[in-house]
Amino acid sequence: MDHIQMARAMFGTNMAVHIIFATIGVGLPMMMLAAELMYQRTKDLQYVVMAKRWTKTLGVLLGVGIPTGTIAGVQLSLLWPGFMEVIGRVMALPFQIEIYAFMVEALFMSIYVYAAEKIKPWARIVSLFFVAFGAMASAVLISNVHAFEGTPAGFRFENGEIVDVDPWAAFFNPSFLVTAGHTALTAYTTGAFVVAAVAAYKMLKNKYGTAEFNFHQKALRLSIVLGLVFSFLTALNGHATTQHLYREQPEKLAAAEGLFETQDHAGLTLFGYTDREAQEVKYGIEFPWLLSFLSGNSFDTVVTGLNDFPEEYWPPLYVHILFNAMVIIGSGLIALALFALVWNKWLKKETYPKWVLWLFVASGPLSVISIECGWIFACTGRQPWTIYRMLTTEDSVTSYENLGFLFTMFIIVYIILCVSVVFTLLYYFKRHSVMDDIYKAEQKDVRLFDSNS
Amino acid sequence: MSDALLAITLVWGFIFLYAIMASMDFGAGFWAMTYIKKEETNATKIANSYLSPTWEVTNTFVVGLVIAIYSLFPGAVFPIGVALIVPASLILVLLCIRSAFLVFSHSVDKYEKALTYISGVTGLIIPGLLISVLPITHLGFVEGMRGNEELNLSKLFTSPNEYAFVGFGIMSTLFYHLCSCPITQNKPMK
Repeated sequence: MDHIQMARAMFGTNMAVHIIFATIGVGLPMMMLAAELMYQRTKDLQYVVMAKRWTKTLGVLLGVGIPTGTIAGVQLSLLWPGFMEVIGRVMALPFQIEIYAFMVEALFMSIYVYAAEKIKPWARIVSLFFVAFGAMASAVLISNVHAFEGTPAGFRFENGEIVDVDPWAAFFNPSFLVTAGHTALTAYTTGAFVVAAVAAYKMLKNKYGTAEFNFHQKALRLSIVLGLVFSFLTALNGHATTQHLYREQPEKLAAAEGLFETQDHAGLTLFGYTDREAQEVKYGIEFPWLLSFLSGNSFDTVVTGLNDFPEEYWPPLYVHILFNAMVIIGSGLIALALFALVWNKWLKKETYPKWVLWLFVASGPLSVISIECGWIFACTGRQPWTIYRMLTTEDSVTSYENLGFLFTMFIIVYIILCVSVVFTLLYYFKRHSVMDDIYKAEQKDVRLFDSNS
Repeated sequence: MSDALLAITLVWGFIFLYAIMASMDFGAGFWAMTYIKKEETNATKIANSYLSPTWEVTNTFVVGLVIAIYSLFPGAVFPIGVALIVPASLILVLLCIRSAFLVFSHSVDKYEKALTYISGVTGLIIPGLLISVLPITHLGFVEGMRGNEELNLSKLFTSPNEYAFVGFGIMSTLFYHLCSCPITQNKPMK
């Protein structure tokens, strides 16, 4: 591995670990808020128990999410000092505001957890709303830096010097809304399906009709509805994101689709891999004309192929596989949630067949894989640039050469963290069963949230 | 006041606040470890109760400090980033393990002993590494021309100056915690 690849692998590993916890850290508060609202509507105490158990989970996950986020924030300056120099001059706003968003989240989180039983229901919902808002705002602001990397605005280079800096123009760069929206919506989708996966698994492990089975079925139904809403919104937003790529980073779109020749009536290829020599996608299924239509809402839209760009500007061609995996999993999630909703609401079935439950068990990990594919696609698809057509990765990277030792050290730490976070969750929830919590909730004088601290 | 002076005042303000909070945190970890055998003393409990509530904010300050430096002194990012990559990575790794196990030990009682040792040991090493920023940036351990700076690690770790700083960092952390602890000792513990 050469120096740049090592630095990218090192930062990529950190992000790959962080993004799992960050995504669920945005998605779960939304689910907690939904459960608290359901409690207000139905006065069914089981929803409070749900919110409590998800809060506990969130607390444990943040134990990895926040430190890895700290690593990411500092490592940006350590590994990519050339890049952060530009960010410091042009795009420091999102990072500065993000600190406040995080403070809002942490503050209201402590109110929600430590004062849950002392404050009125509306105050609990308000504090939970701010927890969810703070988490979402952090994600949106940090994704905005990523958006800026793809569609830079608010500065220009003149003889190697940065001039005409306009921080707000950089902040509201062309792809801010679609990119940040994509992060937020996919985080909500993932939050819903991760909950669905756990609930479905527990339903498979418990007998039909038991109290525990019913509890998990309630959780599954809630996550199906929210999962459907957010995965559908993600699809609409994903379409807009792709149209932005078509206009603003055409070589990224061409690489994602494995399109070499510029053409109208361009086809969309699913599956397969891109062959550089043969200049085509091998073993794929082609849908004629579809790419042109998706890019510009008309079959006559001319889509630029890779051959119109110098080869050193080409992103790695494997991004086709990542892009496909992301889109296929996303579409699968919509189909699954829609099927389950129709089955339950219109066909009036009491419960779900086993194979549907197993699909839901898979949907949680798959949605996380989809997030990973999306991020790797978004970041490798921008190569060889850190700031598109402005700053190359080569000019961003540190001049420190011996990254191997540090990389190994970080990998060991991430493995320790990932293993112990799984162990912690399993250990805790084995000792604090659903039935215990429901029993506690039904006793008027026992404080349910106490075990949260 | 010139802009640069204003900016560096802000950065040092950050460092000052961080130093107060972090010393509480790191010192608590060490004293909890030394008292682990004496079950009858309250010191472990007192020390442990300092560990939990502030860690999120303390972690945020690390990021806040880095953001302050690169947004106020963008030209310094490259040399500082290259010079500090090894010590800063070590600090990050230790902080990460420390905060994670702090959180985990609330859910898994088995972790409490492990946490006491982890927070005790990291509570000593992290302040030592943090204060090393001063000798690294000021005592000529960074070599090479502008744009190609590099930290000479062997020179750093064989220099008595570095160890004087490390010793000072550790001692002041422990001393500070010892002084600030009795003030709050009368507060009821859970």
